[in-house]
Amino acid sequence: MLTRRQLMIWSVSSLAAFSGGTAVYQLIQKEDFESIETDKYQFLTDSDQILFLSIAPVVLGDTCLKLWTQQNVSFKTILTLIDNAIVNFSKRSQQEVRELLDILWNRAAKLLVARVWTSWTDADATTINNFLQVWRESWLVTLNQGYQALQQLIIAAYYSKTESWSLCDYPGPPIQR
Amino acid sequence: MTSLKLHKNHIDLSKDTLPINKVFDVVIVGSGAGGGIAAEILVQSGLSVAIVEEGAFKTAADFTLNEAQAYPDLYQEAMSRKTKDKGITVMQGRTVGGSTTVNWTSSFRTPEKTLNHWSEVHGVSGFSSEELAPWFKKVEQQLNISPWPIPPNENNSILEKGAHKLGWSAARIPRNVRGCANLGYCGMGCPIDAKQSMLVTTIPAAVKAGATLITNARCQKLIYRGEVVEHILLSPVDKNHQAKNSLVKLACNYVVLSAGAIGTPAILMRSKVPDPRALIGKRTFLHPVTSVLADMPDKVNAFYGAPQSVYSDEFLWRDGVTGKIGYKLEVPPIHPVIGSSIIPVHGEPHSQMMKRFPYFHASLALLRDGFNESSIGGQVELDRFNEPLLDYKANGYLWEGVKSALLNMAELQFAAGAKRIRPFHMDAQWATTWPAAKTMIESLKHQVVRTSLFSAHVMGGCAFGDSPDNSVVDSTGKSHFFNNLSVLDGSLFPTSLGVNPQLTIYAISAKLASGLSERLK
Repeated sequence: MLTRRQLMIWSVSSLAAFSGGTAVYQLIQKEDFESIETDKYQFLTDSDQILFLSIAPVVLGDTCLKLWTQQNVSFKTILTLIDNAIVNFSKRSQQEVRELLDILWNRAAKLLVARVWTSWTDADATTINNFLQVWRESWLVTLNQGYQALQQLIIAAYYSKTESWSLCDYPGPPIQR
Repeated sequence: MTSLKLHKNHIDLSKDTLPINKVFDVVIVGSGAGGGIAAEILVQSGLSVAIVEEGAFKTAADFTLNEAQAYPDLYQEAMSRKTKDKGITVMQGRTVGGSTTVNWTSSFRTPEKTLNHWSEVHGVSGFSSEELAPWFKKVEQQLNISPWPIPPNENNSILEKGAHKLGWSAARIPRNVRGCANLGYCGMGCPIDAKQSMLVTTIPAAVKAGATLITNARCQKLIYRGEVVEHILLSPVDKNHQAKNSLVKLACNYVVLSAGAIGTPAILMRSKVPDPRALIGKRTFLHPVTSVLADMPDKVNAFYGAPQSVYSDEFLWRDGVTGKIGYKLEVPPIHPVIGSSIIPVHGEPHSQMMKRFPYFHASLALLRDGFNESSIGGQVELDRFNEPLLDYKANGYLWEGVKSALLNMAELQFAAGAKRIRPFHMDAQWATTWPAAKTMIESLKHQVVRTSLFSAHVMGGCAFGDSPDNSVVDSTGKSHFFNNLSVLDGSLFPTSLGVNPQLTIYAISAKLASGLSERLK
């Protein structure tokens, strides 16, 4: 019997392989999805990892992704950075992030709230961008909060990495330790 | 400084145990502006003192000036603390020295108008400008506070230049530094011990004079019988800054709460202290901050240089003390993590903005909340984990001030030569002229989350005053209920201040701690 993790990987390797040229999956390394690591992170579950690997490339955009490729930074580093941030949040905030991620993985909520009709791994960049925009522009404060949480977690994680600083022409601290 | 970590009087509760059967004369909960000042004064009067700090003992050698390390190490909730509706990001220190270890060093005396308002409206006695003056002088000497003599960095110069062009007031900010190298990383801990925070002044002095410093220890509750606190219960804090389930007892004859304006009310609430008028944790003020980003023609490099050296009080009392909300104009330093994450867009539009990062200037307005009956502040609550949560609801009174401040800041930035400006608001666009900016800002609808608000100044929640009808502690800081408990921190304030609060907390705590030491001797 297939485990949930195996199912997710199967979903990546079969569906994504046949999807169109704009699949987010193609923006990052195929092996990122295929090498989801159970128990590596303190907070992120297997499905959280897939969710962030799907959404983060769209939140960051091509310029950010290309820079990490040039700098030989594995895109999966974003997961470590996000995980490190969340474990320092208050218990309440951690629970709120958990609820947000679970909603995004819940099939009904994904369709109704996020309006993403395919699996996250198969969703193309346009679909994910539309989802982010809908949440950003919604009159529902809860969705604005959800957008803010995802956007801030991913962007802060990206710019916390020294290798990202050339994008914003930041020379770094004047004292190196 | 490093050796102080190894001092016999330092107990790291995450790995060490407390001395058995030791009863301290005074336990001070919190090592920030209030606790730090109180610790030194009380120990010098011959009392046995323990200082309890929730954060770790980090010193200059630990400060890498890297946001990824500084925020989890030195700030409450890794700088992710927000109000209940997520409308306001709250930046508070959580380390030895509290917020004084990570603040931007601005050191203002309390405005006379604020002190008069406290006396006239809130029944606070003993805190006129004249009565506080010697305490300000004492602390200013101790912490080397004086106006910054070095030319401001470009980020601050823009504020000064714009204000002068428009005929608005602007002046240099007094700072608590000694041998400052103008690096610009005060918010990540001073790497050269130039900032005269509690971390390098009163806390080491107190420990060397015999005080015990207990770190990685969260005060969970007070255990009391009748009107006497008998001991407090502490939980060790783990490497992810989470309180463990275990509780250890710390016995004392007197308790000083200096855990800040969210932490102090939370301890009283967790302890289920009698509060017949439901005042604890109420009227918590934030100086809500609204901000405008400007794209300047030349590099600003707002990440380098003393973070705050210029201010304008042109609008601080724009409608008197109790009319429309007034605001103080200053600037924030801009580093990549915080700078990028508060720009509320994503994808290529975000990275294209970030390419202009060295050209960014930001102005900020600190809104002076709590002086008008429409400005009631927030309420500290306990969440399902018994941890504090601040419910602070923005209303029309506040939004009027936000709009007015955004307009003033945009006008100032264009006067200083900005190419384009953009308020921190989800619906804002870049505006390339002042008339276009004015039209855009006037059309913005303000609501929670869409309008970005910040705070680094949490005040109130355990107000002092002569009457138990409207205050939690009396004008000496002593609890109206307990015989052996005082509050000495920013939670004493019945309103916000209208200035960055550290010097007010220092001076008031110094005066009250001196009085307390006389009573306890």
